[in-house]
Amino acid sequence: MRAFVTAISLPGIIAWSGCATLSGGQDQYFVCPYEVVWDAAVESMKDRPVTVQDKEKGLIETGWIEMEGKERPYGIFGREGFGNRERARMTLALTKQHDVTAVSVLETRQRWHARGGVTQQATKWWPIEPSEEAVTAVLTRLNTKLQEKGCSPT
Amino acid sequence: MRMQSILGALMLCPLLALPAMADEKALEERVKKLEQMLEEREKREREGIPPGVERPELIRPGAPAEEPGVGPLPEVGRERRAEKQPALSFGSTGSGRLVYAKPFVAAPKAIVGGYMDIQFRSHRRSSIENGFGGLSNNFDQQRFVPFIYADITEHVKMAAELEIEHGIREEGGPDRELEFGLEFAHIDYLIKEPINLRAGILLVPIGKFNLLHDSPLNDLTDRPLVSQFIIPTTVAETGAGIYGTFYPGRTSKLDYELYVTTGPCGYETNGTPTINEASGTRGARQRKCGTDDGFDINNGKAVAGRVAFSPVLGIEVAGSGYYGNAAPQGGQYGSNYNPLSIFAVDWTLQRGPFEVIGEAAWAYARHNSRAITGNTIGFAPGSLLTGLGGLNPLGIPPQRMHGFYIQGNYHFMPEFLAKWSPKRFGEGSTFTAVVRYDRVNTNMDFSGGEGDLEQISFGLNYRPIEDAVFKMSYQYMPQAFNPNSGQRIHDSAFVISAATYF
Repeated sequence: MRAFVTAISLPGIIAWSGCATLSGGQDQYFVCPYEVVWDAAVESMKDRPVTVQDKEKGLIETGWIEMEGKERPYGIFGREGFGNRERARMTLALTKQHDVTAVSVLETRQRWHARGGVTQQATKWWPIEPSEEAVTAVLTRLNTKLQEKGCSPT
Repeated sequence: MRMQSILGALMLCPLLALPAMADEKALEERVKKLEQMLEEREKREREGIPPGVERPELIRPGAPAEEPGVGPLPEVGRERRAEKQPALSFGSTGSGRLVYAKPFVAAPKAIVGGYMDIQFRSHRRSSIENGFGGLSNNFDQQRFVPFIYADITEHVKMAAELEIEHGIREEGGPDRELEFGLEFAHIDYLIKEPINLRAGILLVPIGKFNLLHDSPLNDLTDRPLVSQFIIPTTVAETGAGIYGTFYPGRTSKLDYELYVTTGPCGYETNGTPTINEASGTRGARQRKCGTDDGFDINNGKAVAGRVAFSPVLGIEVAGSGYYGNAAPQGGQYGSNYNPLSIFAVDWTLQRGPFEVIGEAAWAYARHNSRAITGNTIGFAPGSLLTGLGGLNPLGIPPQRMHGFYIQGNYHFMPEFLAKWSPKRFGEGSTFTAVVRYDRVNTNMDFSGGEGDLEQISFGLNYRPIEDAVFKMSYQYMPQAFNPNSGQRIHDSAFVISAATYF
């Protein structure tokens, strides 16, 4: 029983520390009024299907966008297999911190069908690493818009 | 004479010019032909006919529909029959070629693949069971598993796996048991991400390993002990249910599966319990049931479900459960009610090259120690030697079981190898160092029995690509059981294996 308790508590501790350290996105700080940053953020996300836009909570969320993902050959023969469908959604969270406004950009990306064989998990979206490029692109766009308005990142 | 020469020359002129004219004519014809070809190509492109298709009428949607099984056969993978082709039915006419009118030829959308493994193991003791006193080393082609996956429509999917275990055998029977069967085969109807329907032979969602148990996925050769004895991987049952995913937060994800299935099969026809210390709950699987055609042993159904929560990418914690009556009912068996319940928690933590995975499970086979109505053995199991358990096969059958494993993985690729041979050790290839601790007891009321096992495994594997793996491991077993001698032993083993998807 003691071994079981140790075994159970070990991943628990790791999970807790993992949750504490994993940011899961990119953060940037702007010396700029909240309203200005909010407007720029809304404008930056205009070309995406926004599903949540809550100024009070400082939250902008988009719906899933499906796309052709990175090619991923399947099996020892490197066949096309289950295709390369991916989807992603973006979340922007704004927080007021005195004179500074913090913006956190997070992408959640998934892939249709997990690695490996058919499995019962075949007909499902599986989480994969977010695209740094996509997150950086949003931040760059936001930066450009804010620079036009005279705001600078810290 | 001079005049004659001039006239002769003039007569020869058209002759000399003839080849040139012929050249010009040929050129014109060639240009015309080329123009025609270009026109035809443009036309084909407009109509969406891929280049190289000899018989566009077979794939053109507007093409006159042919009867199934009549007309030229399509070249699978290159050509497709018209989607508007009448569906194959009893009204279809044709000869033996009707078989080619089946949807998998008419509109091929299925993938055929699979996986296989091969292992060699060497034990310190002769603890490998072979029916001839035992072995200390052995080759085993344990699993050959072809699979089929089909996108019937955007919303209807089919997935199936055939399993051939220890396929070198070709005879069945009680002593040469041929393990060949459908591991799972189900039809999914996708409604929306939060809810989808599934029916067929289903992998029962108890723990994570039962759902993802393929040899090329496993970083060690042997499956965890808890996934062999408490959750009898692979456990599949016929049934139906729902599954789906919710996204409760910015980064979090909640997956669930819930099925109603045939249920466990806890007894032989003479009343002998199939849940015992030696094999845990393995004997109670539907695939091992003594009922006709693998049918239910009673009218009750089992319920199985798993809920997995992932707060962020790389972390998942899940709880799962299974509950169903394992005893026979009806006729001489009356209304026996001896339910088997299994509960499990599993976890996956990934951070960079590190991974910690594991699973813990508890099983309770209620009243497994008592005789059921309809028992024809002549005495209740264990009643003759009441109080004995463990190594005595006549001992009281177990009721409570427990086990767990915890495994750490570290993925790496030495730089010098990547430089030395980028083709073999370049992008996509990796080494994984593994350590796993296994503990299981198939009779919580009697420690030190056949199923009181402990094992520590150290492994190293190489994946040239993600889907193929070469593994080696050393297993230290401070608490093991030798089925050949019927004794508890200390054992150790060296295991090498290969597994790949194909």
